[in-house]
Amino acid sequence: MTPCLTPDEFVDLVDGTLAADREAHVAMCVACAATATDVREALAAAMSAEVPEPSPLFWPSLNARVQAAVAESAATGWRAWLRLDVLVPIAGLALVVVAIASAIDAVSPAAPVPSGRGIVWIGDGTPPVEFASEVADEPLAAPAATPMNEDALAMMAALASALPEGGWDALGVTRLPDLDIAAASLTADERDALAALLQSAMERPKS
Amino acid sequence: MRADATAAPWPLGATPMSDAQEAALDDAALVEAAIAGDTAAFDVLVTRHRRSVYQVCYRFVNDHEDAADLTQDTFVRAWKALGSFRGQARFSTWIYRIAVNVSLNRVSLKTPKTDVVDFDLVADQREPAPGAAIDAAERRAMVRAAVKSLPPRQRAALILRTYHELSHQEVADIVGTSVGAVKANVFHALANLKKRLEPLV
Ligand SMILES: [Zn+2]
Repeated sequence: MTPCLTPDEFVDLVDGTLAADREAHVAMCVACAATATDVREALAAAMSAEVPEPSPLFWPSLNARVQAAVAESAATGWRAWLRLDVLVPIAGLALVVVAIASAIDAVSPAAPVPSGRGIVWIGDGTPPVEFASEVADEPLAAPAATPMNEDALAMMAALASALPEGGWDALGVTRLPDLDIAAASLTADERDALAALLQSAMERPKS
Repeated sequence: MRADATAAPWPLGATPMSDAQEAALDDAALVEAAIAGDTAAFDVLVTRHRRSVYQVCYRFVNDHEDAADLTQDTFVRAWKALGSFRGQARFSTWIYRIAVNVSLNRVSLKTPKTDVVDFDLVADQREPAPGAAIDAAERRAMVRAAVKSLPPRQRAALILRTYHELSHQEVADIVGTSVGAVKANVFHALANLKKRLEPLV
């Protein structure tokens, strides 16, 4: 007598794709015939169990939920590249942060100013001495508990992506006026958001 | 991450497509448009595939709210990963893979005890009425609960193969295993179902 069916042969059997000689075994083997019956019955039971159709209102609301989540992920996508260091050389980003912080300092001295303490590790070589000297060397205020302002973040992203490869050395000082104008338009909330951003960048372990 | 259905609109540039525009585009064209940032095209993909994705998720968790969350999660992950979709598989297969991964992750976060308890509930439900006719809806609910109580790999193989009519090769691609392993998982899933539903089938 031929060997009994293997598990995958039973699946082929119920699929109707089992070779004829193997199917012939089932006709002669009580054990395999019993298992085949069990498998067919279980399959029939499984097939009978439809998923309850949700309310018709569910489907459009699902689309809306996906839309909202996609929009949200687009707005916060900068967090990913900030952490991954993939798209922007981190030195270049640090430069932008420092430059903005300096500009804020110049425009509104009374405003809370992010500390320059993170600069040394964020930079990848030449310490940004000139800019750092313009940054108030005070402990950073506790990160704002409020959500980050999207405009400030979008501005950060735009500025960072505008940096040439090589960051610090490649930048030159000619961009400072632009940064100055941009920073001058920051609201207090945006400055808080920037401070929180700086804080999280500084707290990130070196990798 | 649950968003209010009425909260955020599509980002800039999303103009709803007409039915005729929609129908004319196959999934590959919609994916291409979505990769280029066309969120309306992605919305069409969501509409096309939402029911089958929801059903995969539902069979994993046997609960509407959980399935709705997993379905949302599946599409959001798909949106983020669209760039990695190269058209080597059908979009439906690709989105199933994400749905299965999302569902398996959810399942693995829960203690195995949950499944045992759920199955006990099934047993409790049927014991008070021996011999009494079990109505069809009740019976379907028991089968779904029994499917949910299967080990995750068996569950994934059974769900995709039985309910979504994918080939064993497609299921193997989605689950990341061999055709032989898929068939073995389907077999053991059915054998376990048979045992768990013994008085029923
Ligand atoms: Zn046999």
